[in-house]
Amino acid sequence: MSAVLPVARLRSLARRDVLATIAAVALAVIVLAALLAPWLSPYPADGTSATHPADSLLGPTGSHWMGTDAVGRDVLTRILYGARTSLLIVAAVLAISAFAGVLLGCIAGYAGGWVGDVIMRVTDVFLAFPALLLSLALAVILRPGVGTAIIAIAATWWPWYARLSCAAAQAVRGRAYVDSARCLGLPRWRIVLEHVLPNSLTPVIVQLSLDAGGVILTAAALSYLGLGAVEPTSEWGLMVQQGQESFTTEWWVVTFPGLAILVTAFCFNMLGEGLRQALDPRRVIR
Amino acid sequence: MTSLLAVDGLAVRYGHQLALRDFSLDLDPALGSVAVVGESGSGKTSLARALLGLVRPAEGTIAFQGKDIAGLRGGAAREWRRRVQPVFQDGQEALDPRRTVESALREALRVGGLTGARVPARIEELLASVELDPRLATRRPHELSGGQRQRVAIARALAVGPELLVLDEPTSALDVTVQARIIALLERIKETQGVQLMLITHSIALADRLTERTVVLFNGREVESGTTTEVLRSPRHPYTARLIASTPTLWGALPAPGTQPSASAATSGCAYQTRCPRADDDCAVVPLLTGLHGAACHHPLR
Repeated sequence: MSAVLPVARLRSLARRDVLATIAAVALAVIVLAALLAPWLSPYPADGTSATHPADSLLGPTGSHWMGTDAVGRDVLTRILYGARTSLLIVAAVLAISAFAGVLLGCIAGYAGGWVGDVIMRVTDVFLAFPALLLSLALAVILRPGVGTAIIAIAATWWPWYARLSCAAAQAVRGRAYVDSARCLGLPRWRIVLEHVLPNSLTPVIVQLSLDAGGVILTAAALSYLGLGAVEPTSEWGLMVQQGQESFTTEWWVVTFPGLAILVTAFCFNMLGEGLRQALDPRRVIR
Repeated sequence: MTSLLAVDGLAVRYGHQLALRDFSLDLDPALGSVAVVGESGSGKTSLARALLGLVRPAEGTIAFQGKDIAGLRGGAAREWRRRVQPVFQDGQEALDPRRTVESALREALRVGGLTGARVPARIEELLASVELDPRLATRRPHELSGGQRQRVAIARALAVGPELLVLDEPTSALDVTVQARIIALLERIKETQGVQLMLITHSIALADRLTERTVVLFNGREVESGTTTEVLRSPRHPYTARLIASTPTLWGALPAPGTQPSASAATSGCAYQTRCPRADDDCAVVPLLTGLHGAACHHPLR
């Protein structure tokens, strides 16, 4: 099977698409910072459960570049540790939703008939529920925490990928190359996996990168409702939620984690646009 | 001997629209290659898609070596697939845009049971058989010309060793000089590899060059059939005569008058009557097609 992400194409695109390249590098730096948080953080203990009431709400200084929060923890440290949680939630939610959504969507789109109808009506049922209501219902069954946030968000996220993939697969299904594959006598599952799926992925990959920012924000909303990350876990959304009351006086508590969300979401979006172009096989790159 | 494919009373329906009705044909290699000609909307492509198992017949049967293809399973279904291969109109559409030429051929060879060390040599052989430079093997469809793509599509069809190639307008997406080369290639494949062709086309010249038998379709019905020489040199149905006269030449062509009638109009009498200069009251009854060189017409030309 041909590679979905041809390295040579990406390399030549990197030379042309400066914004996407910058975004990819920035995201790599963010991921690396998250991985190396214990070594990069000025106050590693603040990333977990330490508190320093005496240092509460200090503004940005030489010893605390991004100030401290209401219990005196270093904001920079918590942003570095928060990157771990936020990126873990993004990666897990998008992986689960995309895997389930794309697989079901492609099967529904290619098979059509009653198989497609059943899958898409189940999808519609999930889409009909307000996302937060469904998440709340799940929270009644599960304990609050990062795992709950992942499951709750993924449960409301996958139907969008199923819809997107179904539409893409329906468009691909009628193409002559799929007919040719059928005429070769390839089994259905092989046609779906080797022809329909790879040719339906482009809109999904772009959507994934666009959704990454949304997942971070939804995780923050869940934390606010007590369903997502809970203290003392560092999580960007939780930090914004905790700092919102003092935003007018202690701006740093909410601004820096907010910027972290903004920059990360922006980088994902830029990367998404770059990927869309890199994945278009008809785009000639020399 | 049983025919490779035998079509009997075939009808293809899309919703309420009958695209093809009561069509019968024996695809016996001994009888030579067959052209199915007609204007757009005559049911040619529906016939091809039904033969390839891409649409389910509304009525009638298509038998592969005596067995209805609708009931074929397992090895028998694979055998039918292997022996009947398509070449579609547009190579750009017929090749997966993400796959290189090599990957497309490798997939077909794997289906044909060839894997391992012999594959690269066979790919080179296939590319040579369609007169393509082996260095093109690493290219994707968008990096090839229209003619090259069609050659790749033909090579892929040949990779599984078919006995019948169903060619649906194989040259109409190509410019004339490339068309001539593809026609010559198909002619050579037919002669050297003994592959029977079922040519779906609106090109009279292509039918004349490549086939021994011709069937003329109009509005989903077979209106004339016979040897290609008879049908094209001495047409009996007024529609066939007009179709031949409509073929563009350097000196112009006689446009076929009228428009394609609706399928519902065709149920009451001869479908061609609204366009036929010879139509009279007899044409209110659907004419039957009989004889070796038959025309479904109450007032044939000869």
